Amino acid sequence: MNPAALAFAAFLTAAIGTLGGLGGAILLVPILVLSGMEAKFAAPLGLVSVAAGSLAAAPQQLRARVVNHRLGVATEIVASSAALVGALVSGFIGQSLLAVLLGVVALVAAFFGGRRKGIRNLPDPSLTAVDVGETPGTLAGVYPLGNEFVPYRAKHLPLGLLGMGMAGLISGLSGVGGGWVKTPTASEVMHIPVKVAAATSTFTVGVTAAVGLLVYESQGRIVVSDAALVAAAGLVGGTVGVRLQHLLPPPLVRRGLSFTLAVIGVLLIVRR
Amino acid sequence: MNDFGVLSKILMVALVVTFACALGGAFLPGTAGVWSGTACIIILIAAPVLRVTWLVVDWTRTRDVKFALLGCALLVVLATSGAIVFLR
Repeated sequence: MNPAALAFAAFLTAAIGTLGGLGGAILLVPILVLSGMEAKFAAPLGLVSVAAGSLAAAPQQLRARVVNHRLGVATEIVASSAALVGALVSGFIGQSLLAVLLGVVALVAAFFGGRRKGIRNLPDPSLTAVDVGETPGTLAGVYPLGNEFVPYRAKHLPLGLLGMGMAGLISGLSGVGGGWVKTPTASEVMHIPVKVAAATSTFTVGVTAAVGLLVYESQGRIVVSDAALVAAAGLVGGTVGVRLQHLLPPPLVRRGLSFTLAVIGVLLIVRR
Repeated sequence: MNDFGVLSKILMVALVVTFACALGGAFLPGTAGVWSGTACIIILIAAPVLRVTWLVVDWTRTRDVKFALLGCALLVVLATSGAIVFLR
């Protein structure tokens, strides 16, 4: 792939990945492989794009206080541990079986996200801008929706942690970030508003990507000039994605997320 | 509620430096380009770890003990992952 096309692909996938909290690697890696790049060199570039998108989104998401760090840290312990186990046993799972499994998970997540109508968490008129952010000591918080403020609290924690563990396991097995499982799990299982779920997932996929990049660096699989180009484009794409996330209404973000997941699911199953 | 103003500014500086290093890595020839690109990758790896460390310190300072311990546990998981990577 020529540098201009690589930069454009990294920009686009980082923007979409940050907007929906998907991470971007699940989109960029298949594009690179389809263009003729070897998978062992495409996977590290996917994680560079994820890490760049996560860093680009951080300043604005922190200022908007839309990330729930307590939820992110609590779930990332399970996800990172499972990712480590997945990476250690990845040699024992057939790639074709893994692709079908990933595709089915993506389609199920797309179905549950797409079929839901309206907004689950409703605004509370008694809340003000001062209340926006995380509630200390809990997995709850308040986020701004236009001129109103919406309270939320994580539900079905054991099931949610199971989903996050599965996201980590998939991430470790396949070498792509698990954001595309984490965001639907937080939104549809734990009833976290989709914008908070996406922003929190964007934070946690940065942590997962850091571990993955360490692995690839130790294996000598990172081509520095390509990685730098993907990082530069990913930083710009991530900045654009987080601005769009701030502007777009939650149902539109959720439907866009479902559509993207459906495309990913079909691609994974067809390309196995 | 936590004030993430300081962390936001630190990560904004990291973002600008990473972008400059990434451009250097992509377009500078020779050793300068390799060093610049490597610096970019190191910052991308370090930034989320720094963020979790900052959260642990903040939660310890505000006596949110449960989540400070969870943050420490995550740092232990990350350190263990790093150790396994380099020992294999």
